[in-house]
Amino acid sequence: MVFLKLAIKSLKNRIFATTLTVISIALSVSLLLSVERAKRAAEEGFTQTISKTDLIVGARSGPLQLILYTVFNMGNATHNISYESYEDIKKIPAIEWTIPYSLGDGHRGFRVVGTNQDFFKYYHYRGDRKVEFSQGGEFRDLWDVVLGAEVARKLGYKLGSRVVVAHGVTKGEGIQEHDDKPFVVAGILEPTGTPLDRAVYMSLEGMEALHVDWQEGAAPTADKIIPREQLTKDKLKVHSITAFFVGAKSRIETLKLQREINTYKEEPLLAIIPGVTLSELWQGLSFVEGVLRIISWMVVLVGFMAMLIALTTALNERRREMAILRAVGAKSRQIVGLLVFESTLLTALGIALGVFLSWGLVAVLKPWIESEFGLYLVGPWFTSRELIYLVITLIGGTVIGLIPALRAQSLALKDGLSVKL
Amino acid sequence: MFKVLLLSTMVFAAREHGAHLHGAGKISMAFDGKRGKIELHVPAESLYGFEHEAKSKKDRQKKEQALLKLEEKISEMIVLDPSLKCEIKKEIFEVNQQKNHAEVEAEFGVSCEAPVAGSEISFHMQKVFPRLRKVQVDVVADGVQKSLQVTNNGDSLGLK
Repeated sequence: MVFLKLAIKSLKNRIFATTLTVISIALSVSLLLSVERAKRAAEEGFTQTISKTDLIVGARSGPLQLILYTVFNMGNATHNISYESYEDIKKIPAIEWTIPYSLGDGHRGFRVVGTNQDFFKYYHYRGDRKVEFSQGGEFRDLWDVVLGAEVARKLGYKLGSRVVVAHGVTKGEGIQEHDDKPFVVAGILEPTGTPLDRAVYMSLEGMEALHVDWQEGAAPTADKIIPREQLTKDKLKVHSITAFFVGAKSRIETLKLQREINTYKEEPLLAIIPGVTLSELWQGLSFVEGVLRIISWMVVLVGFMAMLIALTTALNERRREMAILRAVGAKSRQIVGLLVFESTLLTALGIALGVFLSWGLVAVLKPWIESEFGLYLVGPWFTSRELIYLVITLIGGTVIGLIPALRAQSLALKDGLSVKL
Repeated sequence: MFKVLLLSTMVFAAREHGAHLHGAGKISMAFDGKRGKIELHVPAESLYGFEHEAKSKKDRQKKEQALLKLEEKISEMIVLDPSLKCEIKKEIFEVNQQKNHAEVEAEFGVSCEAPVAGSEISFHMQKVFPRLRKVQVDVVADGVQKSLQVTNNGDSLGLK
């Protein structure tokens, strides 16, 4: 009790330096915790970009490539798969639903995805969240498109805006615009914080309509263009798609289904379990996590150094205080105890403040971080790993306090009492 | 970053083409609530030390012993949370014998008293088969899809 009183009084006496020390520890701790939480959020956001989908099927290539071009809008497929194969596989009894996905065109740097209404019905992300509309609704007409939230925001589109799709993904103006066949915005999606926000969705037939009059990969000459008005959904036949998502009736059947698709005789296909591929990919990227952690430990170390400097400089000013304590009967080990206790108290205060600071930041910035960076801040307030970090920090602070304490102990009693000339 | 992506593609690609790598196995597990299935693909060499056709009496014995061990010790190799009270039962054992290589394919049925999703599974492959160095484990449990590369005894995977 005496210790606590003495320590608090002594710290109060140097309130400015004490506050600065506590703040520097608090900032280090909150950075350490924030990095840890951001890491958890990034993993969660990453592996939960798609959920409730049992398999993703595409042309045979690598699982990583397949997941990148379907879920993350990155890279391209090596091959398409024929629509017949898709229809064929769709009939397997173990399959509950499918979402076809057709890629290849772009609109001012954003992907254009050809799909059908099942996309709005079955595509899930982050557990059981579904694709929802902020304005308008699904594409009904052949020339309807639905925009991801970011596409609408960045390009300033509203319901009813006309959209010209370009051949191939391009930044800025397209290489070859399908300007004879403009589309109309029928719906805009709610922001999801996933790559869904950065794509334009249209029907498979709409995608097909763009290229219906193309011959051998080139745009038609003026006399061969089929006018937009003459095209209707039933006149168009879908020939190929890039990939499709599969929901199985049961998880146990997923394994069998995956094998069945991977050994499909008519066409070389690849079926992957998205979550499995995502967690493999995440493990591959785990070194980034290590780098982040090293940086935050360094910040904690800097915080400790600041505390060491503050305590050691204060020690000079406190020679007299120490000497008086010794003179009234305090033993030298009690002086050590007092100083170590002070630094432990400072560290504990810093940790508590740091924890509240990081929680406060999360609470305030959560919606913004989610929509802007796609970081999904969920999970417990504390994980056991974080607790271990805090305990290590507390022990570290205590040990650092020993350095000035032992110095103080070695100072002679008369050192603080004798008047220096 | 790019290098890592490239490297991972290569690694996956090799696995995808069914590369037969001694010491490396694959386990796929799927659970619907309390029921589940475990599929195991392991090079025969990692289980009983050779991959030619077991013609001699000694070889046949070795093979049989190894397969019996796999059947008996599976619940020591793949340890589900004891509170779930799971039972792992052999369903199909097949040795896919090719000219110079052989692969053991095994299927087990799992039945538990509580849902497996949300629990933790730990793996002790080398304790039973020391030649099995690396096992790629893929797990699907209700809404959870996870994977882990098991290289040490005691490596575990949380299904949350």
